[in-house]
Amino acid sequence: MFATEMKKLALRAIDTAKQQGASYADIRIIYTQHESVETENGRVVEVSRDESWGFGIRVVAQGAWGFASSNDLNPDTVDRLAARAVRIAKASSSVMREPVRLAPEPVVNTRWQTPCEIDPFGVPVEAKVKLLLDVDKILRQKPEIVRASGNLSFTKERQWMATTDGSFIDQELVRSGGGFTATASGNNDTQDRSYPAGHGGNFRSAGYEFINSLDFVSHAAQTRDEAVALLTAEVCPTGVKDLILEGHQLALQIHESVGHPLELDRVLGMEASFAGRSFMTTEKLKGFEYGSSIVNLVADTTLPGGLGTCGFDDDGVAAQRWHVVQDGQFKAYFTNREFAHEVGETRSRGCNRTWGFSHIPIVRIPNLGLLPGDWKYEDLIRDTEDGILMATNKSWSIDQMRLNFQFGTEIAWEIKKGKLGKMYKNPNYQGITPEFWRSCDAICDNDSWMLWGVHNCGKGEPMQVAEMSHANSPARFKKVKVGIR
Amino acid sequence: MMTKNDLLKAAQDILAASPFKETEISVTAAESALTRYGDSKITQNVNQEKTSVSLRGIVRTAKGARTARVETDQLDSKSVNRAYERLSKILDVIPDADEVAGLHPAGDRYAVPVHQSHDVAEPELAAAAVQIASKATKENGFQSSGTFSSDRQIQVYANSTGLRLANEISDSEFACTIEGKGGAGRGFSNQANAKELKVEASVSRALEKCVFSASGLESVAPGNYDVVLEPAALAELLVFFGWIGLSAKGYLEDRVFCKGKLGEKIFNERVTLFDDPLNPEIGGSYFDGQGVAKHKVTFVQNGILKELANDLKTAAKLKRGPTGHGIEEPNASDPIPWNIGLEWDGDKAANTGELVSRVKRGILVTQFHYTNLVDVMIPSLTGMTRNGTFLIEDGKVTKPIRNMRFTQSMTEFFNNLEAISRDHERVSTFFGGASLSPSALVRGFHFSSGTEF
Repeated sequence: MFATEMKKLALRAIDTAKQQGASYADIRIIYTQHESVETENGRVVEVSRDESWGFGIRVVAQGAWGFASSNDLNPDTVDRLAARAVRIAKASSSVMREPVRLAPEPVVNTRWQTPCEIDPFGVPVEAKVKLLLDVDKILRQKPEIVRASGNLSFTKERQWMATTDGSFIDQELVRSGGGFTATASGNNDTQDRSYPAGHGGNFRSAGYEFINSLDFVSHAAQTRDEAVALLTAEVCPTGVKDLILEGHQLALQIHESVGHPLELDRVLGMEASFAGRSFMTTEKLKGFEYGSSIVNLVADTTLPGGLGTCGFDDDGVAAQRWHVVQDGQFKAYFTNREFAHEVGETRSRGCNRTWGFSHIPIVRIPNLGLLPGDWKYEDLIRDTEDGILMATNKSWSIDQMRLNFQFGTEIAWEIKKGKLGKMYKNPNYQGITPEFWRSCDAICDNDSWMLWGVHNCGKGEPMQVAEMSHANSPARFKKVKVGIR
Repeated sequence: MMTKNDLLKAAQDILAASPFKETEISVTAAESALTRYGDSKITQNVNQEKTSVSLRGIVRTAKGARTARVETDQLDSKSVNRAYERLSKILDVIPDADEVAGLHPAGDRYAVPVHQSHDVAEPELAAAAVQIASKATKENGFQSSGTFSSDRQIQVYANSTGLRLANEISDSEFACTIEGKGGAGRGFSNQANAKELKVEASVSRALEKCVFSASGLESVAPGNYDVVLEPAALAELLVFFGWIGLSAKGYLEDRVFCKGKLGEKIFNERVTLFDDPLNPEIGGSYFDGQGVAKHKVTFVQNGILKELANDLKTAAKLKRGPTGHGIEEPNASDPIPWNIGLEWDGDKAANTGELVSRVKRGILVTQFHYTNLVDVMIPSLTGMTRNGTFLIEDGKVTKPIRNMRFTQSMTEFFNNLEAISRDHERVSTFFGGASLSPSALVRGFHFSSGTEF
């Protein structure tokens, strides 16, 4: 019933746009439910359950783009904004180099939804509160812990997309995640330790079964104890070391130094004024050594559980899997229907995504993972003579060409003569993107390969937030500058 | 778009429908237009309309109190009642808390100013501005990118103590980055009314800097340098420092560098740091998410830590007044300032050029990019230069240099500050926030590495 009504409204909108002079139009009507639960120091500090309805209509008229959105689903508003989008497109056409050219895509009429075992919105709020308060109790068993915080977050997004090409896609995406942090204070210092990751935890396209799999309670004591131990740990030494990165930090490394540089809109200068450009200019398609020969980076929007996993992107392009770096060599960008032809491709890779109903789709990083190597984790440590192991991202910064980066992590450990040694606090490292990836000499195997979700990737103006996962297993990078002061 | 009176009426009706004795609501109606250009053509052109309502209820019990919040973007009575039902279900099952922020009472002590708001720009006006940038760069073989944006927002806050606040603001910005032949420059203009944006001047400024920086880049070794920071660069550091260093919640939890130092000297006695959100050039909201009217707050006066960014909860704990930095309750977030400004009780130059003339050998920085935290307890920051970085020799800007990464203690930064300019600019910063910022001369600023461009 719902789908029928939404389809009727969607078709009305794109018909109006055509009547106003659009040569192409699409509309996304989106209904979003979001729930978050947050605890801090034994108290429930936030429980919210929000709903949002709205539509965004995108048109090409006189060869250029226009877009308008509203939360008002009244048919009169839909008509008004369809006409508005066409007027905007016509204004855009006054500063145009060549008309928008969309890569062809098969027409589809289909429904897709995230596989989900336990609907997170069906799990009682009190069960979620209890889980976080159980963890909170364990975290605050040591007096140095000045803040124990935990959060759970769930989103269900139902979207109906129609295009003048004739496609109609009904899609439901479900995302679940959470985590907790112990903040310790003492010794004139403060330190955070988080599980399973910083910045709100780990997230997946999944239901509540993902929260159950994280087993928060079993990890609370170790997280607390590491936060307290960091207060008296030595500061990460300054120097050049062999660096082993664990999952969450390696995920951010992939995100910032491979993901963003390969967004084709960025490469073509569409983000230049704000986030910047990319050193990965298009002539590098002819041959560029991105990393060492063991580095294989694969984009995959079909990956089960990936935050960027979907049936179709917001161009209506079906999910795909492809190598962006194969045996160290650069192979392909992230594209959409508009820019695919700029690199000689005849079909979009399906990377155009929008944040809710109110934004225009832009090229986003899809799920992007480092394929596993053949090292056992224990063997990798044993093989490292003078190294440092860093875990859990805390801070990141990278230049506007995505070359010079600096990352900070929550914790690190010395590796001497094949053995893990003392703990270090305030670890960080710095490098230049291709030099860094070329220095990768070992990647752990499938046993330690897992998905890490980035649920807060900001891009664009107006700013949009997108989600994607970066699967990896720990990897070693040779002779990296650490302990930057 | 709904009018302020429409929104006030809607807020009154929504409040009247509340099943709770203690309720607060925020209703927002906003329209924004943003034209984005890159590679000297319009790449995105959007118009967004949005109305939303956020509802919070408080239930008192024998053991304490419960509070929660829900949101919807549909203002009809059926949707609002559904939202209240969701809120009731949450409040039925969450445990009692011994600490819940109450409602800010009616009778706020600060006056709320009224500025005229303006409609968002028509797309043809934005396109004309982009044409100016595009034409200027085409003639020189460069590429331009940026935005022409305008927005108008009406916010209404109401709670069951009788407090009613309404706010209507508009803002617009033209930003232009010009790049090519190894050079880069940026110009920008902010106005409440998009029709008053200084488009030509912004393009000229970006172009001038790009032409100069395209004259052959040299690398400079990392190390400590005297720097002249233009307003955009200084604003980035000021606003980021405010986020990591001045939260009262962080102070209460010993998570800030200045813990335990309220009333003590923390910086050079010539440094004063303030937040003045009501300055018409800043153009922000007049009240915070808890219904507290904003006002000018001085955090550091002549080097002494005088105040922190407080919300209702932290203000009660510190036995101080709220400072207008609260976000909607309930939340676990830090109250933080978004508009840190710098006053200087010392030597002032007329402008950036005069500051440059006082440097024997140093670096002129146009802008910082992607600034982020290194160590919160020092506190130290890192980030990259962009859009024009130049060597200063014998008081003159002599040559463009490749971009560099800084890693800098902010305590040392304020202590090594030597002079600022009398002129200033309104700057929007990378992660949000804005500052009315002068240029500054700082001795011994630390650059930790370089990059390839």
